Amino acid sequence: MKGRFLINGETWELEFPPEATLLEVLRSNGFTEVKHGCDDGLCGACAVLLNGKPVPSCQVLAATATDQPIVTAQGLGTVHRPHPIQKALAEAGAVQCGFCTPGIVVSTYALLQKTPDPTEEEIRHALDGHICRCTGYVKILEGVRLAAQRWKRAK
Amino acid sequence: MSPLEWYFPESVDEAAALITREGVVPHGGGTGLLRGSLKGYRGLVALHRLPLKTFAYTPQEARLGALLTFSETVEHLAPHEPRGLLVQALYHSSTELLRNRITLGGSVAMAPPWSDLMAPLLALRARVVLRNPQGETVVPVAEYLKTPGTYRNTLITEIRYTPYPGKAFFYRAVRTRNDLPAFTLALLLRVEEGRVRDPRVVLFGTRGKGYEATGVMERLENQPVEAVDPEAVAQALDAAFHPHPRMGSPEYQQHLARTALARGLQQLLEATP
Repeated sequence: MKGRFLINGETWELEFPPEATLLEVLRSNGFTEVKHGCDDGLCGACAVLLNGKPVPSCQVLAATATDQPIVTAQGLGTVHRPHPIQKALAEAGAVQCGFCTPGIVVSTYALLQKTPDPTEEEIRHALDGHICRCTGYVKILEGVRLAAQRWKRAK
Repeated sequence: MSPLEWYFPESVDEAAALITREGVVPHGGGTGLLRGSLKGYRGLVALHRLPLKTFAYTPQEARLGALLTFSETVEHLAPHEPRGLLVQALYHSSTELLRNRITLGGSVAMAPPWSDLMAPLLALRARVVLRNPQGETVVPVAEYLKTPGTYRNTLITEIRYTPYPGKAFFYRAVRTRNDLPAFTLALLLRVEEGRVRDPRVVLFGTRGKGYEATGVMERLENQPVEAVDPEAVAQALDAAFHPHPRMGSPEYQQHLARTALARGLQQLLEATP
């Protein structure tokens, strides 16, 4: 089947099998920053923003994601033009292997859009679907707090 | 086998007609229909463009559209009942990523034993609004669960309940925050003139899925608050459980349920002025 996808501000006319997930469509079209983790929606590596909300793209059937804005981590910032959230995570030492980072970036973006000055509980709640096997989460939480401080100042 | 076919209805009536076809099921965007289980279906009816994310709230009735996700439900309900049963249950259910996908309608239709939604809905004596080509019917959630075959080929469009004017307690039997619960416990009660009124205790995930603890409710009804011994009352809970791979034997789960109930009673009765 064919569908129109609105990915990172650009329109893509893509062909995909009817049972394909959004994760499969994104990765097979070059959006490899969206990571393929558990396939069960439990690790957060494949998180993207769909209509502004973070979702596990492995649990979204692609046919239901057409004509709606999709944002991946690359849509927020790149290595050469990092988003302040990406910079804060890097500065806090929150990135080791980096596999979980793109998902955490989009979830943090959604959190700060809605709650620019989040409490510790709000940060943990927003990131409760992201598993990191390297950092032990302390640095990630520090990175999000740093990003929130900068976000608040910038506003 | 022929490839899976997608349908994109423009109205609820059209969707209700489509799902009467053999092998065609509704998909609201939740996670119930994973790819592995899609093999048995011939068609999926995409509901996400239909106006089923409605919300209306009065002291007499709450009406929740079937396509509201758990996150959206909490956002809508929290201003009206910040410590309400559904808010407590759904705020901590699963993870943020999945709470942004799991829908109320899909959860009721599938009603897995680990659902955080069902014990609250049963305790609130909620009703589901069902649509089929013949029209609309409203049935209690308890009845919908008891006789699922009766309501095959119907579309859940809304969930309704009468807001409970009392206090709520919710417990998930988990080891870690992100576990799927082995069972859940919902407790509602209110105190009028120093006496317990209209207590409701429901477990979900037990044998037979839903369990209303009528023995406990009878022991609580109309009792003076100071006469209620939470530990003793909780011993009247006699739900039957399946062995659970993480949460242990039926006897252990019974112990957990009684402990949770005693704590819940203590919490709600202490909070009563």
